Amino acid sequence: MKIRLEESDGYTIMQILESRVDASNSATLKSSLTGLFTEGARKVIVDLSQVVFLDSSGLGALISGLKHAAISESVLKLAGPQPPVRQLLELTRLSQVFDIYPNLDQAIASFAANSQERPYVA
Amino acid sequence: MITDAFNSLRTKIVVAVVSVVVLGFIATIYTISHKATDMQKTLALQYAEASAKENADGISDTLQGALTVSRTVADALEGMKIQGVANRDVANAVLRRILEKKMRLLGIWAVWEPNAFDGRDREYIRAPGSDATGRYLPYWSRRGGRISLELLRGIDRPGLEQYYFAVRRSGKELLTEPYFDRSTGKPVRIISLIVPIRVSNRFIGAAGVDLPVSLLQDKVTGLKPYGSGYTTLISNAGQRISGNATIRSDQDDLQLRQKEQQAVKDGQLLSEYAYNPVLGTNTYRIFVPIQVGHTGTPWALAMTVPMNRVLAGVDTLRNLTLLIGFISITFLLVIIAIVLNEIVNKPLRTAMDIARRLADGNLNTRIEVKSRDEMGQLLLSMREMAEKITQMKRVETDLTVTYTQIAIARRIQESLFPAEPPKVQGVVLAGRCVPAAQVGGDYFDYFQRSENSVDIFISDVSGHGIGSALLMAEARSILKASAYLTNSASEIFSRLNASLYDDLDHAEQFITMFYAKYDARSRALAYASAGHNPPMLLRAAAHQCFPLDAEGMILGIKREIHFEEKQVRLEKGDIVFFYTDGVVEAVNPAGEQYGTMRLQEFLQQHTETCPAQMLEASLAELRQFCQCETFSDDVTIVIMKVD
Repeated sequence: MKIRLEESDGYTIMQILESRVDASNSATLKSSLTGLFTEGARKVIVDLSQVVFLDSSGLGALISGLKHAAISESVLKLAGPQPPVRQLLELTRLSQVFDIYPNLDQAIASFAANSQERPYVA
Repeated sequence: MITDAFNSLRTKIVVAVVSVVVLGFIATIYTISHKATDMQKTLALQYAEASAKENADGISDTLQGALTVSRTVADALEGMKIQGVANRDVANAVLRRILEKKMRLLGIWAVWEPNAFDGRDREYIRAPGSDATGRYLPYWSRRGGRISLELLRGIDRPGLEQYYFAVRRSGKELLTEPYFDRSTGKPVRIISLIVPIRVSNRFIGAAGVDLPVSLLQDKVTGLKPYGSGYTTLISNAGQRISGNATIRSDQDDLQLRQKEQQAVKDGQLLSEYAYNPVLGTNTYRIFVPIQVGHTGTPWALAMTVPMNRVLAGVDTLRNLTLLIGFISITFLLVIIAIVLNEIVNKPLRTAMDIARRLADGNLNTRIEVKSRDEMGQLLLSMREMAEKITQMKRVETDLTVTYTQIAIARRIQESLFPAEPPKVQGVVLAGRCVPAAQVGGDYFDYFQRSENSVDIFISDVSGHGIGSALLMAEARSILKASAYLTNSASEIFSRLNASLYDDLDHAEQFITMFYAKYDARSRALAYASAGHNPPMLLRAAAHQCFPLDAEGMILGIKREIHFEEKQVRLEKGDIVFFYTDGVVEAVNPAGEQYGTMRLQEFLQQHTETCPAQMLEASLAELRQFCQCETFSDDVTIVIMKVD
């Protein structure tokens, strides 16, 4: 799985450079996310804008990331999900547990404003 | 495997090396022999030529000396005649004295034309040195050491007359051919050197000296170049004077003989290679001309050098080189064989032995690595190989155990699925789970509450494999227990989530589930969902699909979740199609997902079929879509149709 990590100003952006996140590559995403939090990342944005398809194992990886964020009292936000991914998040009601922003800028802005406001309301 | 001696590595290397060495050796011997032959030939020819010339000079000196005596005699007698003091007694005394001094000469003589010496032939009839007519023909000869005066008679010397007339005719000095003198009974082979005596340009007689041929013969007898070679003196007319009595002619080739004889007559130096039938070998022959005074009849000294003897040294050298070479090659062979045996064969045999034992399955074979060369590397690799094989065998054994266990798990899981749908009045059911792997995380089941009511549930544990299957089994147990305890779908989900949360959280997995309760009498379908793909309700009347969704999060995310319970009334012919994500997420070779749109179209086209047939048709359609027999994710379908 291709991932681009970008660290700036207290937060980390993990951009997923794959169109599909499924059983074949979700393990990498999972370990990468877990790794970020164990290494002490406090604010992480996963940029999903390139992802067209995400299956249950991909969901599992994001959920795992969310749980590790909670354990280390950190924040995990999702940015720029495309319609199929957003639908899956809504179908599973995971949109209720993830902070999801329409794009990266808004996700970044949410840190600056220290806002708890969420763009997608379940 | 046993390699035979001819195919062994050692033999091949030895053959290769020895071939090269032998080739080089042959080239060396050839070159040495060739060069040595050339050198030896050159040396032999130089020697033969020098020796022949030296000896020719010696013979020439002897003959020249004799000629000088002959000239002296002629001059003395001529002087007497001219001075008018020709006196036979004085002349006899002079000739006698000269013969006494010239020890090598056999005889001295003079021939005078009738009455030419002193004009007193008549007075000297039958006097010493004069014949019956008184003609002066003195012949002083040396017989048995005694010197005596004889009468020179042509009858005693066949040929002398011819020579005399030749001198008389030409007025020139003459060297005769060897001829016989029988004046004393026993014939003696001699040659004579004859000088004309002329007064006032008129021939009046001749003086001559005799040399025994044996004198010349002695000079060439000892000349035996290279032992079996020989030297011959050849007269102008071709008579051969040689120490070897058997050699009268040593050349069969007539042309060659003529050429030789011509060279002698012409007084030319000749050298040639020729096969010699007497010696039975090739010879080098050199003819050195011998000129005596103004005789104009040159002789030649012919030296014959046997090439086999000349080159005998070369042959010896070649044979010696061959012997040394043979010994060297044999030595080299032995050394190479020993060295190869030590550094290649022995370690190779060890390696082969080890490989054989490994091949026989004896993986505990101890492999000692002593050297750091290629052999050492080979043994090291073999040791690693043995370790790897051992490791792989262990893994294989483990895998076999795992596969056995998975097969057991699969049988158990298969037994957990309902064998066939329950018989419920007013509704027909069909369900099937097709796991992607040996065991899967999908599950469906029925729970018949009465003859008119049935609960249907379908769920998907994230991931697939043993872990998912175990969670699925756990969920099933809790679900069955909960279904007994409560009627409410949402209540069942709440209990399930509470019970499973810790396990799911720990395993970092989650479950989606859909639960439906159908009452055939009221045709009411109550349902709840835990983030599951919404089943499709196909209204027979409207011929349209409606997804059945209810609020509820997937299980395992939050400890407490509220599940909404919804209800819908079904009509006769309505179909509810429950499925897991494996159906809509199935991908065709072009990378497209099957999706809910295709599913809806499929359903609308199969409204008339019974659930069992529809199930088969939908699976067939999915396989057709994927262009494969097995799916990449678990696929589970449950279909109910209102009767």
